[in-house]
Amino acid sequence: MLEAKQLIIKYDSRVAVADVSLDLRPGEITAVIGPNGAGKSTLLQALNGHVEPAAGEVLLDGRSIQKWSRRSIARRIAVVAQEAELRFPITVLEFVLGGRFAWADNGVWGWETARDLQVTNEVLQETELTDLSGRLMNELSGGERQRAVLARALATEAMFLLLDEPTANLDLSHQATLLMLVRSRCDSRHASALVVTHDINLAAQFADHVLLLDKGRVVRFGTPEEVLRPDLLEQVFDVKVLVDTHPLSGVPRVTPVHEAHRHV
Amino acid sequence: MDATRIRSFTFWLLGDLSGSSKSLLPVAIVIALLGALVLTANARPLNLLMLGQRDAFDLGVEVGRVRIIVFVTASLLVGSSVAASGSVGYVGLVVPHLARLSVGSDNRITLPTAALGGALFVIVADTLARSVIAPRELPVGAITALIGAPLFIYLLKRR
Repeated sequence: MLEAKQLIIKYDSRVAVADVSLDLRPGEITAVIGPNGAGKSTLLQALNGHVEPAAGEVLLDGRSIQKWSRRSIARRIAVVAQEAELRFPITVLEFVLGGRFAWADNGVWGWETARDLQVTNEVLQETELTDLSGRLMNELSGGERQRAVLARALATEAMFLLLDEPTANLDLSHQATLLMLVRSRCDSRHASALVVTHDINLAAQFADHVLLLDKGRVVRFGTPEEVLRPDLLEQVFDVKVLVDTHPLSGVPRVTPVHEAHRHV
Repeated sequence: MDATRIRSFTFWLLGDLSGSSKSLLPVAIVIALLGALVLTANARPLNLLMLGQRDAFDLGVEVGRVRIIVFVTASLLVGSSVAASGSVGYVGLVVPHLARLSVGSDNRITLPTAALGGALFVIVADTLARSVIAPRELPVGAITALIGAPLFIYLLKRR
């Protein structure tokens, strides 16, 4: 279990997250949406133990996350950031093997075990990167690179995936591919995912629950149908929106209505 | 200060093995061996840190701890070897880059390669220093600079 209990996070005196409670349930994807500065990324950082709360707590399997070692956290929680940090040339295989670090035994030089290689190969297949495993990360396209970042997160075998705007730099088809991989991991292994995103329609399509944040507070938590309502979205994003039903999937579809379009 | 001491100081600055003291040698050897061991044992976290601090943290590296261990060990290694042999230039600038270019950037392999490669480079340079104008001797730093400086410029230009 990974849960936040009445979490309050402050940067100096500014309150970034105010009284947020949330738990990630097995097999479910939770999308976090809200305007810039709503505290979405801070919440994600706190769930990973990166930011210490001013009040409240984050519990991992019932114990405060601050009490876990980095290595134990990394076996349970994996983070997918918007962009991979790449300062040195490294092959896709080496990069994805990095996800196995938390499982390395102490004492030895830390060579990868047969199991590390097996898990990595499975993940490479799952993300369709097997053919690219010998290529350098910086030779890949943006979509392939982001798939490698996800592959590394999956290679940790963590049950909790935290994704921070994972599709921000991807085109339409790569956005869907990435989230479908997350979806299938949640379905097949009962993993839980938290996806911070600006793309409300992507959230509607892939998430079981949506958390709408504004100024650090929870405006509404619920199914996409419950949260993606014009009154709530207009109040939070300060823009007129049209919400109708997606003709194929039946989930809510949100379209902003701009002044410039109102000439009809 | 008398003339011999000034001379030995100048040679120390240039990097010269003929003036190295036998009494410092055991200390330098112990630190070199232990230091190489400690660094190589931290090679895997270093591999991840090479990619960036944030990713390393997320993947389970105790970033602060690894950093302190590596800084202290590297300082001890540099301090003891310079104290024992003088400041022989260009070894640390050139050899690790060549090691990375030839065996790749997995520190579990790169670190020992760089350590052995550095030792080899100094031995070859010292042999040259002792033989080119025999029976007189050049400071080894002059030879390493002669080889190292053009190599370093080449490595910089490659980028």
